[in-house]
Amino acid sequence: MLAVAALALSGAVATAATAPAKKPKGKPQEVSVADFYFGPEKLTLKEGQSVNWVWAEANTNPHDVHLKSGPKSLKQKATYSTKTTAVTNAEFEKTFTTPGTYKFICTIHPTEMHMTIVVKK
Amino acid sequence: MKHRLPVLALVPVLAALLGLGALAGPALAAKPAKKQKTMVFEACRHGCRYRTIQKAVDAAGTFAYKNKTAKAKVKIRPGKYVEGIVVDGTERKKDFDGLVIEGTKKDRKLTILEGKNARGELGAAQNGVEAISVDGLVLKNMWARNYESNGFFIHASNEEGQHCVGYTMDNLLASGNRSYGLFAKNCYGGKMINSAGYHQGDSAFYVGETPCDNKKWNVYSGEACQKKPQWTLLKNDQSYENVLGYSGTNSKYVRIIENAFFNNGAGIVPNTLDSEGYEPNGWNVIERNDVFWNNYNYFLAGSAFHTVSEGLGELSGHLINYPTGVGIILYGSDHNVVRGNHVFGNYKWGIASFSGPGETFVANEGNEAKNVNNEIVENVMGREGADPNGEYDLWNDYTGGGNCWGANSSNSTFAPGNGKVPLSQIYPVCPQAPVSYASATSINISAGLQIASLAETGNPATILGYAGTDPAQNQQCTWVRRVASHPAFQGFKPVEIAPKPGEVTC
Repeated sequence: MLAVAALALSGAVATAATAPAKKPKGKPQEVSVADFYFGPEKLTLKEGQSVNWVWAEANTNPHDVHLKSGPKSLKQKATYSTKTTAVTNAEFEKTFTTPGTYKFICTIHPTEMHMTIVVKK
Repeated sequence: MKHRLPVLALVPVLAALLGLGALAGPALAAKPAKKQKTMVFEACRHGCRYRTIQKAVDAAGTFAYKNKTAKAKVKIRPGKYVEGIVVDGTERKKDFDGLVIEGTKKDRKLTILEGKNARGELGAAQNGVEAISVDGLVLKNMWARNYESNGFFIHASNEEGQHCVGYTMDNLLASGNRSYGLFAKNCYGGKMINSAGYHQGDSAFYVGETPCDNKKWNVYSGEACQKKPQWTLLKNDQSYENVLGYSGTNSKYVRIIENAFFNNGAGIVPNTLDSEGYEPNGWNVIERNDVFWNNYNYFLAGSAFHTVSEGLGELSGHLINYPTGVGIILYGSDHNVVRGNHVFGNYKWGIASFSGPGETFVANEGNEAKNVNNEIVENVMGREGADPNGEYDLWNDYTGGGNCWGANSSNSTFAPGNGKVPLSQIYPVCPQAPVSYASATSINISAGLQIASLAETGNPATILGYAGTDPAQNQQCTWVRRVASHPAFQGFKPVEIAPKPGEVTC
């Protein structure tokens, strides 16, 4: 929690305020949000691990991170999506506590930008 | 802090309560049930209920959700607001359709949205205003500057059933934003009027990805994109000292009328790129604009802004940038009309038109950037000799088909290419029979205008050679200054960047 608090104070990373207060396991996996792809497009996590989406410096187009589908038992689905778009100098971090398959898109570029995260127990 | 209640501009109800029915007027008295009330949410730095614009916007959205027949207006008193405002039409229990957000003073420079040090959901605030899936939004009397992305940005996504219809951006100013000043994407119709923008890393005005009735619309189908087009209007705007004055990637049904585009890298540039849906751009009208002195070499170190564009694609490993020193560019345009503009003092070309050569061009997979069925007519070039355009007034790469030129200034100059194709074929007179998209070609090197030859890709007399100039600041090596200084025009002043010693190597 200390790390999350420090990041929140610095304002550098957005975290879902309503997310369960569970300590993330280890360092977040970084995903690049670039013109016009998520890198990597597939990721496998263990329950409790986090993902940090980082918008690429060279971007010229706006992108968001939007949960298209997730596990049926997933709660607070809206917190897995950004509300806004960004071009660069932006990050979005989320901890995955519910096992299952998550599919994400960029709603601005839905045909080009998609990724899958599998969370295992 | 003194809290004030929102101002309820509810004339009929107040009049009735005070027993002043007669003062409410006969029309109001006759139809009281149809009169919409307007709730005003006032934001200011001190003394208002809302000290940030965002809080006022959120309150307005909640109010409108609970009062379906009412209108909401956010009024912003003069001041500097260090924040990025989000108007999220997808938010539950809020309704932003028809919301008005406006500075209380007509002097837009008094109501400043400041991006420097502003924070947002994802770190640095990205936009002065970002509106997502909102219909009928009105933004007025504000200045958005120094944002990480854009000044004013309204958009919708096809994927999520979002919508953006009929926005109004009026009397806005945008400056120093990384990408765009006024930006609308995937919207059905709107207005960008009486506004201005400078020092954007792409364009001051941008209309992108105009949506079609059929989400799977394809230009090769021959169907209309919108059966009943909803038009976007740009009128009485000024765009200066940007990479592009206007950019419209895959934009359609845009009327660009009676604006001034000057001192940019290039002035008006509808274009077709894979980066957005519904290729190509087309069915736009560019009419009665002043397009002049677009000779800002933003590739130089002394530029007040720098391009964020990745250019138009690559050829033989060279990045193809937008050409500079050009007034109006039609890039992969279909059925655009360029009529009655005053185009002068641009050092390379006045009005240039060209295609993206299909699969060989990285930016245009699918071959949907053909220049077809455009009309370039009745334009006044070079102020009739007083302030000529540089190399040529009119330039065409001889690709596509169905394009025509007619009744432009009688002394207009036309780029001849290698001389192997008569000018009358490169620039056919109007009207021309329209060609089908499938039958048109995006590659034609016979006139030596698109590219000199497959072995000679670097000739700056060709579009690919010029736009692929490496280093890019050397584009100005082939600019032609035909007069020692530009004659005065409406009080505007030409702005050009002087290269540092050795920076331009011609």
